[in-house]
Amino acid sequence: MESIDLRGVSCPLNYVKVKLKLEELGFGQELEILLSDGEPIINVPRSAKEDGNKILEVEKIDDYFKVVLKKG
Amino acid sequence: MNQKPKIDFEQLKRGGVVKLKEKDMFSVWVRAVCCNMDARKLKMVADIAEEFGRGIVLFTTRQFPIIPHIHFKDLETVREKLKEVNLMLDRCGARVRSADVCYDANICPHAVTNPITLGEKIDQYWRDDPGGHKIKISIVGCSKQCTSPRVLSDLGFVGTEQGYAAYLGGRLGLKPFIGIKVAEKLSEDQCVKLIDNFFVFLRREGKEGERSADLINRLGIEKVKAEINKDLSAAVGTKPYICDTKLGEKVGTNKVILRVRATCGEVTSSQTRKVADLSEKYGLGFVHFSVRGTPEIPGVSKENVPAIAHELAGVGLELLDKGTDNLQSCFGSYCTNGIVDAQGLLRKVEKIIQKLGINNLNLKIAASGCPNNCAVSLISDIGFWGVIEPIVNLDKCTGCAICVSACKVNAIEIRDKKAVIDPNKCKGCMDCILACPFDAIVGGKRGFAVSIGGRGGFSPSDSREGETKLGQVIAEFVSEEEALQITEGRLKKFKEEGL
Ligand code: SF4
Ligand code: SF4
Repeated sequence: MESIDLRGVSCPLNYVKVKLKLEELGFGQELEILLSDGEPIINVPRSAKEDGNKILEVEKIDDYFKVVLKKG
Repeated sequence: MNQKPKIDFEQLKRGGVVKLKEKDMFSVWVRAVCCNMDARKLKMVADIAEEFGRGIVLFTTRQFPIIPHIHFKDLETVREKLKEVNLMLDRCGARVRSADVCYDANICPHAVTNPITLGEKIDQYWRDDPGGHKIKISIVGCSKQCTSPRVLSDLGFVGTEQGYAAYLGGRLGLKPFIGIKVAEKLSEDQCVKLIDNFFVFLRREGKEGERSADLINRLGIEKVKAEINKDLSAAVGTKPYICDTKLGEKVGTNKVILRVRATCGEVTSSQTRKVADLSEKYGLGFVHFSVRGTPEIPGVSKENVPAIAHELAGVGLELLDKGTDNLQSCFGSYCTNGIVDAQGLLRKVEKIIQKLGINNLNLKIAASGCPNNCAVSLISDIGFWGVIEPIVNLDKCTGCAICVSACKVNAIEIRDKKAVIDPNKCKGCMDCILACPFDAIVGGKRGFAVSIGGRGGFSPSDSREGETKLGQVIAEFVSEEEALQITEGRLKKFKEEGL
């Protein structure tokens, strides 16, 4: 699975990076994203979902989150 | 072939671009130094809105223009176009924001200090702020407090005959706070030093995301006050800097400031170009962004007012009369946080006002799409905002705790791996509903909240003093129809009894 570490990257740059990464992936492929707590974890999964992707898994690890999504 | 969009990451880090409800759509925040913009720049904003947006420019409470509905692939092109006329994206997020000011003392006859010169110093001093904490600053030149500095900014400076009085803690939103006076009789350099003290203090003592009001609540006003008043006379080394719309001399007593009605802050590209043209033809060649979300044309001779009104009518615009102030909204219906159609409600309220013939109250009415209150509903005579009741679907909830991070009033807890919401703490903002990636929180009832009696400063043409007070909530979760009925009742009462 492709993975992108966006810890410490602020909004909206983190989401734009997710979008660019998603452009490289095919429909139905999965992407793992690491995000900081606060605005990033609130906004990025939400924007990804609004743009038609599916969130498969969210896990809190220490002070950050691991999110797995499926390109829609 | 899939063309790769060109995106400048360094620029995006500085902010100025905000996601909208619609897929891939963003709004672009354009910086307006000293809350003014010269005609040529404003026309570029209008052109960009037409070419890349939907032909609408928003005049906002934060006193700069926003261009909504820019596709993310066009963001870089838009930024380059802005740069051609020396415009840039506004700072947003966690940093010292550009100061909001009312008017140059050379334009406003009421001003006893010159807000624009203090604004220049602040702007220059924090131009390269690397960020970390959000600090909003407002400056006004007299006690009318036109830009509502005590609620709209962390630090509000109010001009008096003896210098500036400083207020700390202001904010609207889910946890509104009216700024507390922390100093008075300050010179401009002392104001800059005071902000610097606050900045250093916030860096040292502030927790992640904390604002001035949180600091006051946590540490007590006396401690904060003592810290930010330290060594106010120490030189901070402000550099001279001249804002390009600053005047060298007084405009003269027969000159007035014209306020253009812009219901919901929405002005089309061709209307915006017209306003810019008129400022060149009759005014000072620039347009001011007022806190009530209207374009204002300063420095116009009284005898030209009828001609201007006529030209405005040609593009479907009119001057604000004294009946009601600008009917103000936020992004409402297209903001990702919008719970209700704030603009739709206001357009209907406008009809009621016309029907009742209210013509001398200078009434302030505002509608926000959610309790974040971006349209300053809580400091308006009549204010509306959308509310929604969140309900957790236990089958879908995975206990991931994103909603806990999202809730600004700490109304959510995870118990036995499920989210539990405390209805007594909940403000109905929808943040948790939007943040949950598993659709495990859904909206129950939704509707409008209505408040009355809020105040937050007045326009120069208004005779009232700038008292600041939050409105009182008189209804919650009402339908649009009920909100309109309540409004009509209140308006009739105001018409008979005054405010
Ligand atoms: S964000 Fe959604 S899934 Fe996660 S804990 Fe909250 S309600 Fe449950
Ligand atoms: S529980 Fe949800 S709707 Fe209520 S205040 Fe918190 S985030 Fe807003």
